[in-house]
Amino acid sequence: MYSDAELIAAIGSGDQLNNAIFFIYQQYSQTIQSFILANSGTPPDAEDIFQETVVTFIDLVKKGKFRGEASVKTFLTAIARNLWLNEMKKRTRSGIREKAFETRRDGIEMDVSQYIANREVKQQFLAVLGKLGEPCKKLLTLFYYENLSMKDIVHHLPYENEQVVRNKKYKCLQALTELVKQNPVIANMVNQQTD
Amino acid sequence: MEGRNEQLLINYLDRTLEEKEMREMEALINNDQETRRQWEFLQLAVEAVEYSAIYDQVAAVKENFRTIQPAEVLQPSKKGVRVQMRTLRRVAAVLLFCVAGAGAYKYFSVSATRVYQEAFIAYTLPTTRGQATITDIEQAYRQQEWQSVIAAFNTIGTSSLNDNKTLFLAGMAHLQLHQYASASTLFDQVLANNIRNADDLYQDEAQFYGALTHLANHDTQQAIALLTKIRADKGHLYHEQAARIGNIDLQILKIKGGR
Repeated sequence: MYSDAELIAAIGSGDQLNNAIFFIYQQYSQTIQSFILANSGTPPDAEDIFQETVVTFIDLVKKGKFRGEASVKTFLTAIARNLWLNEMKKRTRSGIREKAFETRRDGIEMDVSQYIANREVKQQFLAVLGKLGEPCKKLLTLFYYENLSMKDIVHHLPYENEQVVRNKKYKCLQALTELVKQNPVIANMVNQQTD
Repeated sequence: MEGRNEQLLINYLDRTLEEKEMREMEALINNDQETRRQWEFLQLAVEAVEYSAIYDQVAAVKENFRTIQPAEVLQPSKKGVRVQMRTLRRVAAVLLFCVAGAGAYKYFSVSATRVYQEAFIAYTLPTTRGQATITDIEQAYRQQEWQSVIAAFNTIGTSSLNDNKTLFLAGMAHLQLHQYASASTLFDQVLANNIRNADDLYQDEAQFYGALTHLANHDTQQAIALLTKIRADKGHLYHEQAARIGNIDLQILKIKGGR
């Protein structure tokens, strides 16, 4: 069992992250998935939205954007609600179901829309990483996500020495950046920001 | 130039540049639009790596969680649905119980005696203006002296057997005294006289009160036969009264009478 503060600390620490994710599933999956199901979602919808909610939450905590302004449960529920509303908007253009859904929102609900902005871009992140290939994805993940040094990476991957890893990592990041540039959704977002 | 810039940007990102190079790169990002664009794409690439890693990690834990607690996670909806179905089943069971209970109550509460009591209305002799003579039977009946009615009927003798009015009033007196067998005989006599004489004097009255007498006497089948006839005849004097006895009540009486 984690308190909210302990959970945030566990997510930040890295080595406790799996336990923290498991705890989130244990504590909140039932409630939040039931909420999706109660609002026209199917069981796969509920699972997917909850997974995306957890990913979004952890991403925000890691970036220091969750400052405990609400309880974890409230925050997760608000993210899930926004993600599902966003998904429904994407699926139906009529707006009828959205309207009915929105009327059920209570007044105390927090606004997390800023945190799930560029949801489509996030989904494109997964797509470009899929195109990159497993060796590069693994190398970049170890370096940028696991924060391993070149020396440590040599022990994890079949490369001769640190210099080979360094060169390989450079090429991989270059290739990924190129894929990101070529992705129309991501490029469009960057163009809007720089114009 | 772009390749060198890219290399420098990656080094800047990884913080492997010297302090002076870091400041120069920072200035370039701030002042050169193309470099800034490159920098943004590079940052997004790293962000993509981090997001994808979190996604994969959550997916892995999710699979683990599903393996450990498959019933709760794989079919989360079922719990909600189960709860709803359980609630629905409970409501249905309660409704079924209520319907069954109401049915059972109805079945056991409907009896020939009860139907008789609910359908019975006192027969009142109409006032006849300027009538020259009022018989003893009529006099006694108006005063609701049932024994006197019967006594008067008995004193008349066999001649009264052809007088449907006297027969009917005597029958009603017996009915009021719960002497159902005697009442039934007299009402039947009225009906027989009408058949014989091709007449209809006190026909409707004898049929209706004859049916009630059969009910009171638990001759259910005979009562139902008469009531069915009256209910089918809209011109019958007692059609309304007979129709007030419900179909279900009649069916229950039929079932009970058939056992």
